Amino acid sequence: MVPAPASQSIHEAVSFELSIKAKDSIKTALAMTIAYAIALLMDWDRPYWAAFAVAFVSLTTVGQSVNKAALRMSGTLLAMAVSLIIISLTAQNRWLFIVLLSLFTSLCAYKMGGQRASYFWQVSGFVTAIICFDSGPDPTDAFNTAIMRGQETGMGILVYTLVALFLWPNSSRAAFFESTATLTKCQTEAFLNCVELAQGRSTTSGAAELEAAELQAQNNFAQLLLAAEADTSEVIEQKAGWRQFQVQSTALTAALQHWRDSLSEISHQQLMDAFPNLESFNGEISERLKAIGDMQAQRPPSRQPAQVTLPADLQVVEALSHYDRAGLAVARVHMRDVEKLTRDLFTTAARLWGFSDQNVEFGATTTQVQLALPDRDRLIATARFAVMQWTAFLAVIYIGDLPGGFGFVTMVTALGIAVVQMPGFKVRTLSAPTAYAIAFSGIVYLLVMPQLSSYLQLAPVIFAATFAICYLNHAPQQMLGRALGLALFSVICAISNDQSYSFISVATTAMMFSTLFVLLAVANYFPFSMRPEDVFLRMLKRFFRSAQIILAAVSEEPRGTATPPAQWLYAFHVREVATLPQKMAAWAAHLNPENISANNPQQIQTLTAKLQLLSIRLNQLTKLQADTGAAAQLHLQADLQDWREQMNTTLAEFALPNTPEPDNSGSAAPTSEPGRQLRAKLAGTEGDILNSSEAQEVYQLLGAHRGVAEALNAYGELAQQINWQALREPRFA
Amino acid sequence: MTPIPHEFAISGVYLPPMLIAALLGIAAALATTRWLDRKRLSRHFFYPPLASLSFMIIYTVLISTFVVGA
Repeated sequence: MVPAPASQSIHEAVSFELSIKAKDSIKTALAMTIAYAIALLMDWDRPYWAAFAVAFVSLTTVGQSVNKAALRMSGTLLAMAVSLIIISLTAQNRWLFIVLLSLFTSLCAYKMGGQRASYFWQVSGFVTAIICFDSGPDPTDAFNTAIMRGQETGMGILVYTLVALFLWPNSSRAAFFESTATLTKCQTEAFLNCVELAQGRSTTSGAAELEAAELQAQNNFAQLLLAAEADTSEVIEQKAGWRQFQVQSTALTAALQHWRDSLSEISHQQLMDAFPNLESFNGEISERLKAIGDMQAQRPPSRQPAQVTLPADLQVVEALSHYDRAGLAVARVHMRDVEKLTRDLFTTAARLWGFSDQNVEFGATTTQVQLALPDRDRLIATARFAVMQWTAFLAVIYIGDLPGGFGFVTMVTALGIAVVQMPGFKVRTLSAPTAYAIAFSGIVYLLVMPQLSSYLQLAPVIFAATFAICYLNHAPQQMLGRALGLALFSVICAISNDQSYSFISVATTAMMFSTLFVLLAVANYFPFSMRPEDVFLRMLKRFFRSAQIILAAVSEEPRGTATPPAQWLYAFHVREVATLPQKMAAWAAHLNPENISANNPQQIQTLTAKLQLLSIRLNQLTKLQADTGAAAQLHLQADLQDWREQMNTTLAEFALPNTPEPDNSGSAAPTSEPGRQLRAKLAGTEGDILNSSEAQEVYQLLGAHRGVAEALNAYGELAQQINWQALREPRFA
Repeated sequence: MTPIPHEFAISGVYLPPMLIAALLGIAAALATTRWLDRKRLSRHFFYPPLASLSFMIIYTVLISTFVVGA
């Protein structure tokens, strides 16, 4: 055996593999040190602004960092323009100044609650406040301040991007393709679960976990797609195709969920008897999903998707009640949706992974134009933010020597704009990280920095401090601690070419944050109580009120004849019903277990899942109502009238907060078979019942109504077990 | 006899007496509200957060008048 060379042995002895945590911390610390060096060399004011940019754009992958950096830079540019306009318009008029500033920052707070470019609006809001309050009282230097902010932000972003690109570059590629494979695997498992449900070999008991896993995979995929569009060449080249894949897989997730929900309400035997082709249909879908998984693993598909249909056995169908036929009609619609979506997804996947001969460009994904509808919860958050900002401003004006002065108002804006969007926010989640950060930074500032005499001595201190903060707060749930630590280190140390040291500045910062936390704690209860229990009950009431209005509108004339304000209001209530269950699920996670006493926390979460199901069924009903012809609607008008009135009463009972738990044992379900009159009307119908397009429309519409009734039943059964009194009881915390 | 107003000094760092009174008042109010929650007496208040704020002000005034001297 030949002995290894000495150099190799030494190399092996001293080499070690750094963890991801250490590498990320080193990159951030190095970028911070370089940013400070450049800012000090250029003699720029407030070098810590460059440090902020490094601290807030440093994320795990290059793509995520580049995306966040782009949003931060564009937010800063907008803030520069707006702040200079406000300062120039309102010189010597502080009240108009604060009115214009609070209007713009409130707009930013509202837009921040949306789905798109949330960080852009956050940065626009607080940077506007920083520039305005920094130069508003003395506007002679306003332009220089604004330009300096933009300059230092851009430099910080550039430094971090270069460090991340050249030192251990970590692209999103591997994580992105892994998330794609996970998503397909989750959808395949969800489909197989539906097949087992359809065959009666399974129950819906494990469905919640499957749905949660599917949703998590979908969200993960969406986030990583954004990052991969910035740093992965395969995704950049086929951006339109990947967007199409995202839209189609989201639609498939929803279609599988709807199909699973519909299966829980029909007999599996009826399903298998009515659709004799069901097994081969399921087999074909399963093959397609498997082939998509194979293509992702670079294995070519064995064949193209085959055409499958789902014809019904008319003899079996004619023997069923109209109520059951309606259930089957709805299930068939969902199965056809799954078939179409898997076929489209297969085609898209084949083109993305190069297993298709088609050379046609991917089409742009169309987005539906939606009415501009205000979101009530975002409006509430905006109102709270505005109250916080005005309270801080008035306190600074009328209370002499408030710690921090206008810096206090700036901090309230910067923190307030973020915390009003957080469900169940508690001040104590911020207080401990802030205290540690101030203590750590104060020690470095007061005891270490006065001993240093040049940047060559200061640089290792900046590097070590930044590395320590990043290394100790690397986990995603510690992001807040990391951000606070880095920001407070930069602010308290106040590194500049004219360095000075003062204990009072550290004490003032500590006092300022204490006052800020008191204001945030008060804002949790005024002007609106944001106790999770109170918010949950308010949302529940709003949900059922909107559901009542939607159901009443469904029984009226077709929507096309309604006036524009009525259509707008209807769309508002449809959106409320569609979005409230998710919001309630987020708030339910913050309910105090002591306050809900006899209630099992899991019961509350299951309740929100039932509301989500009701929301989906109402949404399906409204869409179907809009697409169904007037003749089909007329067929059902008389049959469903008393049922709709009964539903209206039940929804009103669920909406009222002070009534005892309604006894709705089966009361939400139609007490009379709505199909009796329909059967009499269709008694003379010849030929295929399900193949007649009008009859199909009737059954689908009837099925949609049936779905709403079943979902309300399921909610009512669980609601009877909830101790509503414990939720409604007034408490201090 | 109310105590004479004076500043508090911790290692040469002077703190205003009203600050100390406010900190003690907030702590006392938090303890009171927690006790009221535990005994389920909070349900007798119309709007507990407003009551909590009132407790803080009352305790701060009492402490600053009779204990700290502010």
